[in-house]
Amino acid sequence: MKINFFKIKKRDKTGFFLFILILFVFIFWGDSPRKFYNIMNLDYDQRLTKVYGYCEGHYTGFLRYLDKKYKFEKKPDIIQYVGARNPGWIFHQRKKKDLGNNYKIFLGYNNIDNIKLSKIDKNKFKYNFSYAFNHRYFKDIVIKDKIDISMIKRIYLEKNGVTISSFVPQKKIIDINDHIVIPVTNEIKNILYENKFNEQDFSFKIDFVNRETEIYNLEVNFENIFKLENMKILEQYENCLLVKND
Amino acid sequence: MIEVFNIIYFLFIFLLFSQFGLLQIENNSKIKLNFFDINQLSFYFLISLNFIFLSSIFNFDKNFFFYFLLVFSLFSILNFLIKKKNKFIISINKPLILLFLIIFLLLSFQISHDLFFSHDVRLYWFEKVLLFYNDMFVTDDQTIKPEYPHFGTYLWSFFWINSPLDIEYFGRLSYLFIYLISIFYIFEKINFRSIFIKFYLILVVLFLTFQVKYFDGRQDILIFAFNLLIFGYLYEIINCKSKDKKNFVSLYLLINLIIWTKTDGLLYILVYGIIFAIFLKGKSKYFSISVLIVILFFKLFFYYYYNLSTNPSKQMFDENTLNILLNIDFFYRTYEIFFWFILNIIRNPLLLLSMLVLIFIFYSNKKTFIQFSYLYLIFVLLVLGIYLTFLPTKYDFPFAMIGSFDRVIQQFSGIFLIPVLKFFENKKII
Repeated sequence: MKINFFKIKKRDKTGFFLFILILFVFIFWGDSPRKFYNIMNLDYDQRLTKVYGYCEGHYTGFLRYLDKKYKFEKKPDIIQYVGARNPGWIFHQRKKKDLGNNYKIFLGYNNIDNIKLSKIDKNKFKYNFSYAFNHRYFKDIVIKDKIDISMIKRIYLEKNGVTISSFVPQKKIIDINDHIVIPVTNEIKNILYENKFNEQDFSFKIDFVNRETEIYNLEVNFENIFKLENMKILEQYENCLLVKND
Repeated sequence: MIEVFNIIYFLFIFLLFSQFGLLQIENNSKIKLNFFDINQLSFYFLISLNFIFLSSIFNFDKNFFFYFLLVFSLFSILNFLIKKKNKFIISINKPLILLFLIIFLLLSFQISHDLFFSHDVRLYWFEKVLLFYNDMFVTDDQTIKPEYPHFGTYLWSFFWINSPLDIEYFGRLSYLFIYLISIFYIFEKINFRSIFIKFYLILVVLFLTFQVKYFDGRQDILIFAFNLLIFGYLYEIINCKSKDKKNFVSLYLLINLIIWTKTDGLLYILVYGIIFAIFLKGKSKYFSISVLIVILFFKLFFYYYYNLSTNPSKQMFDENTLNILLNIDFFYRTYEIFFWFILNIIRNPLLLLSMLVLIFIFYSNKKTFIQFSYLYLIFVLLVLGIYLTFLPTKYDFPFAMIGSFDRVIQQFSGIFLIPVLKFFENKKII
């Protein structure tokens, strides 16, 4: 099928113009002109940040900035609180597996250390899973109602209505606000930590000696595993941080 | 601006690599050298791809091997042009190459602009690329899917490492080149009344099959392109009764690449083996089946030698698969698989349209319809294979299908393209 491209108009004007029309549709169908303009005017990092976000979503802008500045020889430890999974693909060095890692990158770091649980039944309160609570332990249960502290009999942690852990509070503290603070067991601490993989909702149920007792306000105190005061902050942009272990 | 130059540079490299081997194989003074003969181009590019595959197996230095291919390809072309120019007619299919270049550039702008990686790519495909990017070998694979084959990711890293700008997406442009070659190759099998009809239809097929997300590093688009080429070569061998050894060699090379690209390749090698056994005649039948067995055993040998898992997908199968098969709700699973299969056929415009036309062909021209019985058998066997794969899965059901069925269907969605185009050709519609 040999034809002289420059004599096409004479041979098949309609066909040629129809083809050009479809070609134009094809060009604009993929938004190619705008994309071409962006390629010409934005560099690779800027385009990546535009797609993935700087300190949100995939955190790519922040991570690319760190990678270029610090030239990591090994993928740094990434501790992600919220956002899309596996943002570490942005670091391309994989050779030096045995190299010690002094750097830690925190993404979406937050200091949420207390949440109010919603009441779902008599003395039963729901804890809804959130990625924002990742990398922390349950520390205490806080009862904000004024009740007789000696009335607390047993505390249950339930999942889908089934008890997965329970304990008799050994220690009960009344804080300066007259709230009852009950430290939880190590087992319950670990359950929350592991929950970042399981993404489950839980409920707390409190049994009282006197069955008539009812509480309305229950809170949970958290303890962040990574405490920034023990680390040297090298870079920070909003809640994205690069720290070095002291 | 520099990225655009780099894209053009890679287009040049891919075209150059598709001349690789010209020197050795085309030792016939009667052969016309056509710089954009898509048949030659696809054949030689397949040879280049298989050489790149060999370099992954033997863990050659990627820079060295890249320049080796480059010099060899250049030398091949120069040899043709300088020494034998009197014996060869040199022609360039200007309109076709122009269209190819325009399309490649337009689509590569999209790939280089939309840099988003899907979940699977971020989680393991790109991690596999980084393995090769860091000059490591398959035995160093610590991704969550070490059992997945490596050719596609190696190819990505191969061109990335050899990119002057050291940007990952240049490696993925090779996927685009293979994809375009496969579509252009299929259209070479059809005699069009006008070159513009050919061009419209190429654009229509691109409209139906191209989405930038398919080029984010998932391997299904490679399987789609390899399968499309296989359908083209099968058409040459079975329908046109071609005895050209190049067509057979291309088939073997493609099947080899498929089984090293995705674990789904095991199903394809089985299906194509059955097709060879039924539709090939005489020596070529036994030789082709023997080649497939060698290809399969070579892969098994490689996996055993390097102590890699031969389980196609640890997420889907384990030693309890037989037990699962005995305990599953057979009817529920069958219903779900059937439902998702139909749904994803409807969601695949190329397959849906070509199947609708095929039904029309069945009623209007049974002679044309019957000519492609091997394709219907391939389709049936693939569907049966998919059914048997999803039936005993230990992965969350039906979630296992929701996320992946569309990609499985996409892999062979070009299966009825040739019968449909041939029907229109016979009716002088195109």
